[in-house]
Amino acid sequence: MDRKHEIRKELEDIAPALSGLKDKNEGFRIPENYFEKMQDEVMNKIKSDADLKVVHRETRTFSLSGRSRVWLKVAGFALVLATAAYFLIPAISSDGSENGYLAGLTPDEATEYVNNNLDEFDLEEMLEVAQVDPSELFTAQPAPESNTQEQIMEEYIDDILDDFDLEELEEML
Amino acid sequence: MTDEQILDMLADQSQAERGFRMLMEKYQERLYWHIRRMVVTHEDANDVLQNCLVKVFRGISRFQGKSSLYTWLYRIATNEAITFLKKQKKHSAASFHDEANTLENQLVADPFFDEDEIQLKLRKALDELPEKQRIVFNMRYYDEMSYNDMSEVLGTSVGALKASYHHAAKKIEHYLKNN
Repeated sequence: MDRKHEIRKELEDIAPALSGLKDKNEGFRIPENYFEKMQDEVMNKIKSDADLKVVHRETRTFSLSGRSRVWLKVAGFALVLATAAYFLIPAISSDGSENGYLAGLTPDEATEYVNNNLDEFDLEEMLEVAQVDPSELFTAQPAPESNTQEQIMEEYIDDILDDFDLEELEEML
Repeated sequence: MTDEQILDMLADQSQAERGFRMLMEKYQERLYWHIRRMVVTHEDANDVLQNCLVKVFRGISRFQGKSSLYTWLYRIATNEAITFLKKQKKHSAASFHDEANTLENQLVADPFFDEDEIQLKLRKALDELPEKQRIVFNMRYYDEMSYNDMSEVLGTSVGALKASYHHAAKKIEHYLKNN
């Protein structure tokens, strides 16, 4: 017995009146050439989604490298400060303008000290002591505007949102 | 064209679009009617089908061939339609315009539904069924699927599916006789 016949027989046994309706028109129609147009619409959706993803990925890659550059600059500047502090503090101490105990600080402690008392130091003086050419500090390209704290936060939120499925979110609400 | 040939084309970047068009050509009508019977209006069926096909394209690389392509597609279409119906239900529950969302009003407003008293009655009877029973009934009555395929799509045992279909058909028969 083929499947169609089997299904009909099964239905006749359970619900004979319903079985009589089986071959009738369901009443549903579709627009002319619907499937041809639908295929094109689906392909367009897929392509535009893919384009969006490429743009988004590129943006993310750019922003990540931008963020890395900021961290590198901060780390570099901290190193300069640490070096400057290491040399500067004994110099200050020997002038008697600062307490002698500062000379005994380790580079890390000195960096921390400088960071905490940054306003009291003159940048040019520190760079001079550390033998760093101020122009070298700014030879790297300026950080892209997208790296402001606010925009980094926006990107971070975007990243989190990317991981959420809108439907799941809606269902949770 | 066989499913294997379609899948091979989809795996090849240079032929992926052609392969996907082949897949749509082969299955779009069956998927459309399956979805249409669940969501009822053409407009909704079109939205759900398109979302479903976009998901199929994105997820085709994860298709492992453990089930047939046909049942895998049906599963995605069914899930997509269920998600749509849940959203619709939630929306109408929150809306003050519940009446506009009744099945009868939806069908009458759908330009792609031929008003036929018996079909409208049958639709109303189907609307009375619990969601899962309605899906089972549609798959068996309209799509003429085997219980084994239905079991793969819905993840339910064949015995439970037979029982659901039996109950659904009985309830519809009762509704048709008494309304």
